[in-house]
Amino acid sequence: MSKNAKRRRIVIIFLVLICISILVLTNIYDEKMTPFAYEYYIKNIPEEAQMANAVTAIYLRYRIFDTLFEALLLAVAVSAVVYFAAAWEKGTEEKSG
Amino acid sequence: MNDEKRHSEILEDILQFIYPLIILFGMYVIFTGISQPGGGFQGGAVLVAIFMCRYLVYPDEMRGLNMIGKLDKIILIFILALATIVILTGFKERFPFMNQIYNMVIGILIGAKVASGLTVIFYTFADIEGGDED
Repeated sequence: MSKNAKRRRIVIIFLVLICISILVLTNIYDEKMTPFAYEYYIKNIPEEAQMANAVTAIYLRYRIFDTLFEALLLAVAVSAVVYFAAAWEKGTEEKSG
Repeated sequence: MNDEKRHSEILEDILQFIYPLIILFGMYVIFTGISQPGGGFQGGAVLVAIFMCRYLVYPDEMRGLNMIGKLDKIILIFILALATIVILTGFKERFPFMNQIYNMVIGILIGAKVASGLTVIFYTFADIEGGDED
């Protein structure tokens, strides 16, 4: 067995073990949380955010930074795709030429 | 594959009929996102379908992609500036009547941002894949 195949097998076993342990742990420790955030949002959104849609109120008011960084992440993803596409095209041109 | 083989008049005619419906649906999702299910992200993703349809009809015409990429960055700056000003100045508390306008504007900006960003990603991948076919 080559070194890479051995390493791959170890990684697969490790990932399977992690998955099994997560499944077992989530079944053993069935944590019940009080839905205080849910209650707070339902009670206060009409007054605080003045919006009819609770989801919009959450992503435009309570979690605005999440929305902003999501937009930023999308911009980074676009730049990365353009950059890697250009690099990949340059690489294929060099190979063929 | 050359352009004549890929170009389909049936597809073109059908898509000319579908374009306005896609725009209408995308705008509807963006504008009604404040009070109903929907929003800028979802509406923007719907609007990208216009460019995808255009690619199906004219696969070799990708004019203005650089401009869309620049527009994407400009819109991001607008979103960040608007949200920062609103958060830092306590704009919503001082002018509660402007809330609806702010929500509408940022929804439209997010929709435009998502649409332009996904368009650039789609065309870039399409360019790579299309390049392999030829």
